[in-house]
Amino acid sequence: MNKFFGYAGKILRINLTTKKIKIQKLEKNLILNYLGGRGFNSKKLYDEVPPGINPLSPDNKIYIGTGPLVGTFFPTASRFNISAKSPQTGILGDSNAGGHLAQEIKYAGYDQIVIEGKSPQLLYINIQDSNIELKNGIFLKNLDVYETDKALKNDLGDKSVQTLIAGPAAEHGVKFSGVFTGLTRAAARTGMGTVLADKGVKAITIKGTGVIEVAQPQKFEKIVDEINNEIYTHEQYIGRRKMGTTRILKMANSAGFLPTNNYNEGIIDYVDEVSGENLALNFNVKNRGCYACTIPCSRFYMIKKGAFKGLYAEGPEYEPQGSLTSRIGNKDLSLALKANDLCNRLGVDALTTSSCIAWLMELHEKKLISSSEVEGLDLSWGNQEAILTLIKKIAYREGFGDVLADGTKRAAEKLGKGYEFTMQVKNLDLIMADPRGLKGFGLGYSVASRGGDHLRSEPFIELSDDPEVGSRLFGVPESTLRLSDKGKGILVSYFEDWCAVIDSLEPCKNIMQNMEILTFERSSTVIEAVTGIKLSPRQIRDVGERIVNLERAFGVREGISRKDDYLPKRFREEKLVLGASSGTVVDQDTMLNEYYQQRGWDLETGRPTKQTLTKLGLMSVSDELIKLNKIKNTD
Amino acid sequence: MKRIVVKVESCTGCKTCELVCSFGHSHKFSPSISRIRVIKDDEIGMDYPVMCHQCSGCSILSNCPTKAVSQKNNGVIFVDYSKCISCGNCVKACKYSAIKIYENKPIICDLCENIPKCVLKCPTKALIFENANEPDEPLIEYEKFMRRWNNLE
Repeated sequence: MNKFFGYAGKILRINLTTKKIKIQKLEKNLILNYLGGRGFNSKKLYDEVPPGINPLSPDNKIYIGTGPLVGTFFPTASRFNISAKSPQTGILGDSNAGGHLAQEIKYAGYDQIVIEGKSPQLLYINIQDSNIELKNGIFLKNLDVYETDKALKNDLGDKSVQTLIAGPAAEHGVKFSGVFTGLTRAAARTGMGTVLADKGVKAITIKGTGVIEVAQPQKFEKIVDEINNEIYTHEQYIGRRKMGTTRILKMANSAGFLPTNNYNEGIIDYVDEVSGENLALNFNVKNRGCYACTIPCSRFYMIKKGAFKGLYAEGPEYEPQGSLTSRIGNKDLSLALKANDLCNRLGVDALTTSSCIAWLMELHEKKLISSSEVEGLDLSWGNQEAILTLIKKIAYREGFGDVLADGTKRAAEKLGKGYEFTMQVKNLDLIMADPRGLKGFGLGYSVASRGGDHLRSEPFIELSDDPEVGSRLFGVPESTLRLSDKGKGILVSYFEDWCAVIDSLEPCKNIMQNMEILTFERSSTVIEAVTGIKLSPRQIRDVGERIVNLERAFGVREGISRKDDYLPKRFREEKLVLGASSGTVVDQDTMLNEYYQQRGWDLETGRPTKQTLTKLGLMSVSDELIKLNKIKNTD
Repeated sequence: MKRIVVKVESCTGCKTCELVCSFGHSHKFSPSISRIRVIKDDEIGMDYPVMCHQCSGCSILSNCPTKAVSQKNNGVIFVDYSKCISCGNCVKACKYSAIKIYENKPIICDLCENIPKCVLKCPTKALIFENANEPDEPLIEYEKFMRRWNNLE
């Protein structure tokens, strides 16, 4: 057998139409050019899913990829990416999650699972090492994520199996349904659950008993000890232990970029009530961790009083916590926990769901929608009944929920009003940081290959607001000033390449990137110890750049160009009135020009040039885009 | 006698212990090779590490048909693999379900020559190596923990 260190060495391909299962060998070229996880997924997606197909058809394919660090004790190596053409955005769909699923894929013997075609009957896929079964899933129909998890474990007679589940929202074709593992770990963005359910797959169960070996065990152990020491002594360690990402909420409010009432404001006067600190002090009962995590930052909470007393679950992270509080004007943390629990059980992306609610509440505030149009709901900011009812209506496409279930952009198109209040880029609703207060993040949302989201770049270093950092890293002091529109091209392209590498090696971005641990230099040492493959820091960055360009090419093939890279008008024209990010708007063109220049893309169209694609070894991609008349054939 | 004691309120279920155990014994990574395992239930947030507790009068000694197992002075169960016939009786006899079969043979915690690596590397110090009595059966202990949550008000 052709053995790779660090990798499981095989790709599992399941065709639901023909019921054929193939196990393919992993090719070394794929490793050298794309490393793993997101890189593998994007490469296969580009090669195998042609432009123009309907995402909800047998032509679409799902890729679940994990990375070479997963299955070892490299701290936080617990993640996987799930990719397909997105039914929400019509371009590259991709989402990443942690928990305890990814290593089972590796121990079962696979680096990637590919799901093709479509099953006429609802089924679930059971993977136990090399034993793959397509099992009857009729009994799972319309069960929520928790119920499905229980039913699967009963059906298999094994409580220790890991599950990846599409909820009832996915079955109802809600375009922003995620997949869930460990009940609350969501790969929620871009509608990957919707695609899975469309294929007739309710869930995947997986358990592996195999072995992962590394090339240089002793050296690897030493590196891991070093990294763990760095983690334990890091200034962010205690805060992350206690609050996870929810520690950001108060920080975002102080800096004035906490999206409030659908981004009409950037600060709230009730931050203590909805903060990560309040969650930690009054709700959390213990910490929980993803596989091999040495921080662990996840938390298990219980509501101890009030209307939702007795509710307990793991989570939430900052994004849903902020989304279900300030974004929709809700001052009650217990209500946010309840709403988040509902999103998890029904299987929807809490971010897009809250964006739909926020949009509707703004229309109501501006008297653009009457309560009779929304079945009599009182759409005042933070209204409990409206929030909980809308989540359920969206998930089951009931009444007005059917209008919202395709995301805010399509809802505005259907209603013929309110487009300017949809807070999305490329039909993916934005995350919880106002780009007027974090310009680099704003550029990141604009150009991200999966639409309006921060996790493609997350240039956290901007939060330092320190010009010396920008000078040191890039020789551009403005690049790390959060309110500056200048210097962001170099900042965002660097962080995009870095994120692509992290998403391909599959540890946790929060720790390995935000805590500046797995740099390009460090990756080089780690990759060699794990896989035995020598790649220089520059070659590793090239992998990141290759992935970003290939993903952009996927978008270009579907029609994406510069015109799609603009933030909602609000951020470009309206200033925030209060708080530490007031008085400024986003200078979109300056940022885009700098970014395209940095990337070697055409300034007018925002598309990669032949020269840039060729430099990255993407000649066939360049040829295809030339043939499709998307880019020019110039040297 | 020194035993590995579980501080259940500190365990986050990250399974670093399983990985360290597997690597420490084989330089490979697999839950199948680990002598410690974490039982989890995501709905109630349960994380509970299970391993051999070196019980006095360990029940597998009398259940092994070929006398392949013996107990050392420090309580560690020793398996003489040349005598083991892979019958699996020991797996059934252990009340903590602390014995696993790997490549057809039982594997049991050996306390890493009195410096247990899982204890050394546990990120939250949920495992402690100290003088202690045999614990209650694992899930009973966890139930106590759950009851404490409910009494938090």
